[in-house]
Amino acid sequence: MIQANLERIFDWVLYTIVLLPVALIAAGGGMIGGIAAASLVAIFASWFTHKRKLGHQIKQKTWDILVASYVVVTVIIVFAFDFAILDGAIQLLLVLTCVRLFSRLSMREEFQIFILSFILLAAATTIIEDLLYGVVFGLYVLAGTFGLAVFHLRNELMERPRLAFRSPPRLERPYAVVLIGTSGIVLATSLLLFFVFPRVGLGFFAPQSRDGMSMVGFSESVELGGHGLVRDNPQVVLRVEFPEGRPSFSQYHWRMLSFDHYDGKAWTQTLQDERKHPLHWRRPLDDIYPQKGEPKLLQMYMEPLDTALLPTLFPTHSIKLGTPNITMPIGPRSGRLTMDAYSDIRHSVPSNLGIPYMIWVAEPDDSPREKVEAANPAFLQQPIESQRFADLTRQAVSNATAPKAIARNIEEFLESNYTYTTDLPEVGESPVEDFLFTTRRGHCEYFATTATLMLREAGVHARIVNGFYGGQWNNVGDYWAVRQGDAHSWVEYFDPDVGWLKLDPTPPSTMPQANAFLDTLRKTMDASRLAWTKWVIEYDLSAQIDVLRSAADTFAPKPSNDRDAKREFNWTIILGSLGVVLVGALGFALWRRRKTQLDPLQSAFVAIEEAAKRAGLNRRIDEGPSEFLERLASRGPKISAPLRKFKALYLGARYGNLDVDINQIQMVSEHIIKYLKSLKKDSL
Amino acid sequence: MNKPSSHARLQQVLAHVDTVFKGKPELVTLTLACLLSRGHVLLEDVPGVGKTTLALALAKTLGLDFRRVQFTSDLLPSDILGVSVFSQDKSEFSFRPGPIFSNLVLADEINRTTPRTQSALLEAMSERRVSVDNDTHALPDPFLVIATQNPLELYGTYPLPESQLDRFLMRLSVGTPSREVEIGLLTSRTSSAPVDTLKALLSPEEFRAFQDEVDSVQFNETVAQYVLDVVEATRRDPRVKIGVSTRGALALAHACRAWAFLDDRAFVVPDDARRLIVPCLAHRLSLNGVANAEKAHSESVMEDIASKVKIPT
Repeated sequence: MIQANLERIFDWVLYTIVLLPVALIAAGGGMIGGIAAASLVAIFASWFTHKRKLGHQIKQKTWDILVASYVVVTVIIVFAFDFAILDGAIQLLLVLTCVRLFSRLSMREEFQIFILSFILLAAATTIIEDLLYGVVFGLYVLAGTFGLAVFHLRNELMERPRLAFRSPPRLERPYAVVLIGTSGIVLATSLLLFFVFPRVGLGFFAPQSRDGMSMVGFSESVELGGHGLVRDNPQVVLRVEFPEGRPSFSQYHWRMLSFDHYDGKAWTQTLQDERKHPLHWRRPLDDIYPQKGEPKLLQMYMEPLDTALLPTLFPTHSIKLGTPNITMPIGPRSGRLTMDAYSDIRHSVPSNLGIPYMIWVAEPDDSPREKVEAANPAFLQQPIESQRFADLTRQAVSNATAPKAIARNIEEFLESNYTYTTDLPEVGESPVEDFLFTTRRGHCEYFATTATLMLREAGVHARIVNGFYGGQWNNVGDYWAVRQGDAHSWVEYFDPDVGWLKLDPTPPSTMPQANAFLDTLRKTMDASRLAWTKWVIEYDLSAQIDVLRSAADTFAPKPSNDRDAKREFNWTIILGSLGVVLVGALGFALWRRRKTQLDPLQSAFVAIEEAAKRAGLNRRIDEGPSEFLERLASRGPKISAPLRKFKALYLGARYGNLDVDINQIQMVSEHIIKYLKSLKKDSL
Repeated sequence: MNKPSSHARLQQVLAHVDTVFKGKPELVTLTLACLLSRGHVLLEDVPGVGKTTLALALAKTLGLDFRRVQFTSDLLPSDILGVSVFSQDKSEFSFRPGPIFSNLVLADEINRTTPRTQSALLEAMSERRVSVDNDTHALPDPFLVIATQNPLELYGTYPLPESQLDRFLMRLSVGTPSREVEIGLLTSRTSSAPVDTLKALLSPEEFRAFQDEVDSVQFNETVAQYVLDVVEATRRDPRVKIGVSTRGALALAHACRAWAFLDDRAFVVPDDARRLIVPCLAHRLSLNGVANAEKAHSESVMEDIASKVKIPT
């Protein structure tokens, strides 16, 4: 039997529920300088001073003056120095908590600490909302439930002096197990309520404190060399799920934006006309990106990026915001899509929110088509006028005349004669010529820029495209993860008979093998972070409908590949689940009945007992039937006579084996119960 | 149901005792219940609260032969039990019974005498006979002992060992009377002891008959289960070194019968057991070192244990 000091357990739990939100606030940067250190020192010091009751030697008035002074100072700081009100409030809560920890004496004051810790936890949501908050929240619920139960137990012992004895009260194993189990049930119920309770806020109250990720290379003017800066950045920017299976092609080029104008060092977008046409999801893009076959759905989730661009997978057929189940017509994640003259797609959703959206992707098709819109002449802009560049281009192109052949030859030429490297060469006056004639090595931007300019030199409309290439499968979360480090540049060239086609002239590079354990750990963390953001922080009505639809799919799946087909109920699962529930309920009822089987005589007494309980008179565990009935009779003069009669009959029959008419007993007990039920609740 | 006359007679006894021993009806009832169940009583309290008065009042009212023995440190066993004396006339030894040969013996301040003398009395209490010089002499029937002990004055005393306390069916505390009772005593007491005015309402034969009637009171198995639950709880409690023995459980059962009899019932109810747990069982607990060091009282420990045991309805 585990025995523990109840007081000690309570102290440990109390400090745990205080330190959890304090740790969150510290992790979120909500504690400034000296306040952070002072708070932590004060909290730890209070542990020792409370043991020696030192805090009680300071009068309550002194504590009140201290707190009032701090409030005044905080108000002054907030308004005079433009300090954030929220931060000031958090500091004040910390001070109040520390003061209460020092000065706690009564149960009321200890309960105030519970309340203060909860307010601190709520305040922490304003400064931190990532996965760490979820973990700490779960721990807080467990510790808080357990702590409140222990608090109540202590109170009961204090209020019943005859139960209190000099040795410290002890917590037995069964009781501790029940308390821990109850805490777990409370946490599980809270989670269930969280997921089921209707989200009527439409996500408007989603935290606005997530800053969009800064993306190098995705602004409207990009200098050569930017991608190399993010090469090793493992931060995930995009997560992709394949509900209808992966595309047939293996190279994933996630297109963000393209450029037309190169000034010798930087790419810019110069086409101002006809910018940002509204893009409806039903408008197929196969006239821009030639493709064939049935498009497959890709469910995308983009992290907040510091740009309005929306990554798509080449060749995208169509695109739509939202999830397959619902697209919110209003709300922070509702928005419009636009496409410009560069075929870049932008959204109007705020940049500090993650965006779920869908794209349909088919297979690339380079066969000739009818009615291909001509490309803008801007994509023939050529800044390099050197003869050697022109000669080299001719050499690379060889005898090819068709755009596809030209592109293929240029690709082969660059891959064969130039080396990929992530070492950033110094950007000289003419980076492309340095790359071609001096260094003969570079990263993707050099290859893509050179290929674009060579294609233009050969008379083919071409543009450089910035985006991401590849990614990695996260087997923990079952999604494809694209990181900042996957940033890449490639080329799109125009074939008048086909449309825009893709060209990636950068030679493949060998990536170092990642440590398997660290890789798994990173994937697990990323999957957890996604789940946290998706299902907690940004859990809105659309996500809730998703959950309910998924549940419906389990119990009544729709035939796949047929969106219009009606759902067919999976009777096996439904009936099986119902059967399990019924059998469980029946078994429980039988067990209860067997456990508490009473004869009519005892049932009569139990009925009176329950009616008395409802009226406010509880029988103690060690209070015998005679004493209880007498006590009840003394509280209810109107039924004292029938109660005494019942007592005599009941006790005689129960313990004296007297031959008593059970009907008479039941009649008397019914009369008593009727009277007790007529009383107001807790009136005795 | 008991013969109406038995309950009524006993109520008369209680009322009669109450005329001289005022303000403690429950104590008198407990003591009478103990005597009816053929048990001996240990009254533990400070001097001057009426222990002797109670014993004497009961003895007189019940019509029992009464002897008072003042235990001192030089008291010998023979002073209690009796002694064989050589008769010159008859040239043989004859036994002169000691004060123990009475129906009701008041062993006053039993803790003042030596353990040897205590043992002689306690052995006689359990055996209900006396062996002197290889002769065994039966004690009268009924034979009951009311012993007294001052729990506070330990200097020069020999407190009864815990194992010997088991001989007493109940250990009771008298307590000081209420202020109203004391005022009544002060204003009404004359030079003659009021106990002298008491009449015998019963005879030893009648009292024996009542004792036999008590034996026939029904003790239900449900109540027996409850008694054993309490006893087992004492054996499991971490504060208790040695819990209540089977003898203690039997003693409680006997006392319950008497208590029910006094309440004019032919059967015991769980409430009877609950009421008598502390008087019958508390002095049978042997507390462990920690509890003793913290000066825990066995009554409070016993009450605490009993309060946690679920009572049947």
